[in-house]
Amino acid sequence: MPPRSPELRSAVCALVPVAERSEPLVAVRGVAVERAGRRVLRGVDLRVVAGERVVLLGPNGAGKSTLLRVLAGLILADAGDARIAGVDVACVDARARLGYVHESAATRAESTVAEHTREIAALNGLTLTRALLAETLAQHGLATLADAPCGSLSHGQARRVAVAAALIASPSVLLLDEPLDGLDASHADALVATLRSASERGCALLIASQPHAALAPLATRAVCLAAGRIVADGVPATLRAEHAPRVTLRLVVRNDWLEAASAAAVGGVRVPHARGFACEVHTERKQVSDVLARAHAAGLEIEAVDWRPDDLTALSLLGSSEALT
Amino acid sequence: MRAGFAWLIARRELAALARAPSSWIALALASPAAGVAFLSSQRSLRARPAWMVLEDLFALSAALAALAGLLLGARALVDERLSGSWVALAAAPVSDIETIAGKWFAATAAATATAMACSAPWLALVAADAGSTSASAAHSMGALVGIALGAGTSAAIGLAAGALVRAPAAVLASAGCVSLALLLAGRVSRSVAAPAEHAVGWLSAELHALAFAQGEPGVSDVAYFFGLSYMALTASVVGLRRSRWG
Repeated sequence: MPPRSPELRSAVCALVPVAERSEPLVAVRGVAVERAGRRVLRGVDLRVVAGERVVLLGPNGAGKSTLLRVLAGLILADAGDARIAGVDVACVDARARLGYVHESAATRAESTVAEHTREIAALNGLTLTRALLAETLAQHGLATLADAPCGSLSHGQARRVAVAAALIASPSVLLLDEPLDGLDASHADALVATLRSASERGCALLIASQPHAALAPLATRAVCLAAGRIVADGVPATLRAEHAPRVTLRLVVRNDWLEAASAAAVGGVRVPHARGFACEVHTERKQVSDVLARAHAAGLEIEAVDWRPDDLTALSLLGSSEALT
Repeated sequence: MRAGFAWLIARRELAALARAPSSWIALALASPAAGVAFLSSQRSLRARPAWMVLEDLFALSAALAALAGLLLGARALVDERLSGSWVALAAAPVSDIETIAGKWFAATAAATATAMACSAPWLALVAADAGSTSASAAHSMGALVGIALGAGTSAAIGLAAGALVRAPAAVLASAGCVSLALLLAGRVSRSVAAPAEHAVGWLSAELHALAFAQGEPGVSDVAYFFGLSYMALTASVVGLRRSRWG
């Protein structure tokens, strides 16, 4: 385990010879993060090798973004060890090997797209020629926005600028936090193609995202986080087979009251609702019609049915474009 | 530390300052304000030797440079955090020392330039009026070095506040308090008992700044500004590293 003091860790960085820094490209062991008294990550272990395309799934607050921030060196873990290409993430050398796309725009509003891209390249030790800059921007559909101030961009355009900047130094590891957020279908597909080509060059991808159909063909591995822990990790198809898709059904009944006994009859619990009470049932998707039949038999007059996927059901969306509606 | 990266951060900082309309508005307001302050200090005293007029002008410039340095140093990290661009910098392969060095250099250069821009016309006027009497080049050079050192020290204090404190208002308040304490140290020393009097008096920024304004700085004056800058910059780097612990 590395020393806790940042000063000591920086000193140790300088002593570790590059020859000892070996695969995997991302190695996380027992990482725990606590913020404001809340345990955001609880002993996360993860290894990602070159060319692997890992999608981090999970509900809001599961710890996906925090894990990426730890790997990007933006925050240091309270416990455990996180390394990029064998180098402690606290070291500058680790950051030299990664590209990071933050969930919000990380640009100065008054900088133009071209200036921002050139600046990120310079921070990575690269000098962009005019031609290379134009080529890079064109590759990401940003050629016409080169002189636009970053503050005037739409959310989707800002995402594309962030991805272009992250890829500019051909990083070994690319960390992307909600990269498809705000992108239309054509730009989402273009981004996925760009990420695939980066991965084929050996770049390890770690993508934190809500389930998105465009990611399905990209992911070679899915890691599902819940409450700061990894609850599932594997090839998406295998995980889908192992974890039958589950949903949470919320039955809004026409009756102006709902007895606990009626709720129990459908295997659910009574929960508060705008109309008084509703019945919430956790079940497998294939059992939905049975639950509705039991509700009908129990005398519940169902006015509306809401359903949302449980945490692991997110995996089902990764492997297909099917949506739960 | 890689000087190239520190220079890159400094250029980035200066470019952001040059682009911000507020920079030019502040300069446009500071310039006539400095002129009015200088003229009002001269109104009641006539036929003074050039070196005395210069002394007043350099003291005013030093105060302006210190104020500008403090504000520019304090905003250097706060602005990045507020705009969100700090993420790009923190995730880039640039060390905390390089980041602080670059930002400090930019704040110092901008503050010195601001003070010089505001006082240059008056300096030219004094030099022309004094002819070959007592407006010596050595006096001017010594004072200019003092202005730059004062700006650098203030910028370092502002940066340290920005690195150690999160809330923008608290950053300004803490930087202001430290600066005020250094300004008042001379007056406080008069009410302190004999053995501590000298030590507290030595902390007075006014004392050392005046030595430069008079064109007669000593080693002790140079050591004062270098020492304070070094301590504040070290605190900035430590603060930045600690901020990664959240």
